Amino acid sequence: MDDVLGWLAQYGGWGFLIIVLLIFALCYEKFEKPVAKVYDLLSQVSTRWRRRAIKTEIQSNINSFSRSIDKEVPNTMPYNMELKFVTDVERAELLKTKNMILVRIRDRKHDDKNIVHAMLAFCPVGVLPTSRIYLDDCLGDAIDFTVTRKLLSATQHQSAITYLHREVIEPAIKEKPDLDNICRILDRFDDQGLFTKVVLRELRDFGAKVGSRYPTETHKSETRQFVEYMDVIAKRQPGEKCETSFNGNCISMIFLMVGTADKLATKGITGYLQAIQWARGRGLGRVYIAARDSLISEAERTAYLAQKRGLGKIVGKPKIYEATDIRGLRRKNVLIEMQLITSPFAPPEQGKLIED
Amino acid sequence: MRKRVEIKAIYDQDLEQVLMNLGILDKLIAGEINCAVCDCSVGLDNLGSIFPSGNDIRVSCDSDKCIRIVTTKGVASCNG
Repeated sequence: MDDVLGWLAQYGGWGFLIIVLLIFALCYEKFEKPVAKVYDLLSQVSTRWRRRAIKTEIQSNINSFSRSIDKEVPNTMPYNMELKFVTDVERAELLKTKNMILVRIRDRKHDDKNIVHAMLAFCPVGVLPTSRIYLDDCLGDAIDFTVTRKLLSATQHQSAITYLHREVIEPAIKEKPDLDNICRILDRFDDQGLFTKVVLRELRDFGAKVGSRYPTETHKSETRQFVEYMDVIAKRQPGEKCETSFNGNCISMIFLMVGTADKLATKGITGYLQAIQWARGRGLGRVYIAARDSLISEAERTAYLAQKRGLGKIVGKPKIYEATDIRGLRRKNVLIEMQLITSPFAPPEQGKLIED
Repeated sequence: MRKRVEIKAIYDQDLEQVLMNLGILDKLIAGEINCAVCDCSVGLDNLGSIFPSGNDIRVSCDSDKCIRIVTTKGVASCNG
């Protein structure tokens, strides 16, 4: 620090300017939004600035959104988008680059169209890039539409949301009626805070587990079944019993909602610890422990005790967020992810647990 | 620093120049080029994307469905 101050004292304003430029160059991503505003002011001057203003605005919106998703669940949207305007491409040059697709970007008055087109062109390579080929067409499209809608909501681009629905989603649904159902399911997940935290997260790992295998119908069917399983969880009414575990070839998990009053009254959290123990015995890979409002501490205690007993390892920090429940009420939620530690020698039932 | 995915684009005001370089401007104005996906007639107003296909250059209209098919399924799906 002293060296930097000494250097600043020696070189004065120039030193300061160099440091500012260095920070700007290293953290350019974070300055994209203010830079877009500057270009916007200059956009009346010439086409060159107008082009830059459009490019920087689209890029900054998409990249700050993708960074926020990737921060929540790493590697679901691992790339930034760079919109590169082609101003003089020759025929021979285009023919040589076999997979180059030039997307038309219109003037400022078509901002809605521009951001939707750019995002939909980016989604297939930018969202779940490792799992994409293992998703069926409908699920892939529904994920792209949901992510695009989330981006437009985050940037409060209301007219672009209307454009997306009228001009993109509705025509697509007319062609693939099944898409409507999946879009509704993903919307429900998003409303309940499960879309990124559980669904995208599991689908991301699906791609990593499958590795570089040739994509088959089995892969596509497993991802669809997983989404249907999660929908049963999302639609569950309070106190209703349903299948809480999913055991596929690549996705294996159990979703525990700490919140059944009679279960807590009779067994305390031991019932949930037994469920984790059972899941571990069945060889499931992961458990999500969820709870709402006053039961958040019970969920945290369940995760803590499960880890203490060596049943699993808590991954990251508990995620606390506001989301809508099945009755349409906004409530405080917690979601704790645990990696289960499976032992090949562990019998399915491992005796009765006694709560600490 | 995160990796970047490049999306190539043409700005409206450069469109005519690029199309002229590619040698398809006159055909587009004459309405002689059809969308590689939905086969509708494509002009300057409704041009959505441009891509190479074999030894030819093809275009799609500006319907989102067609642009999406070109960008997601790739150029290969529109060949022939």
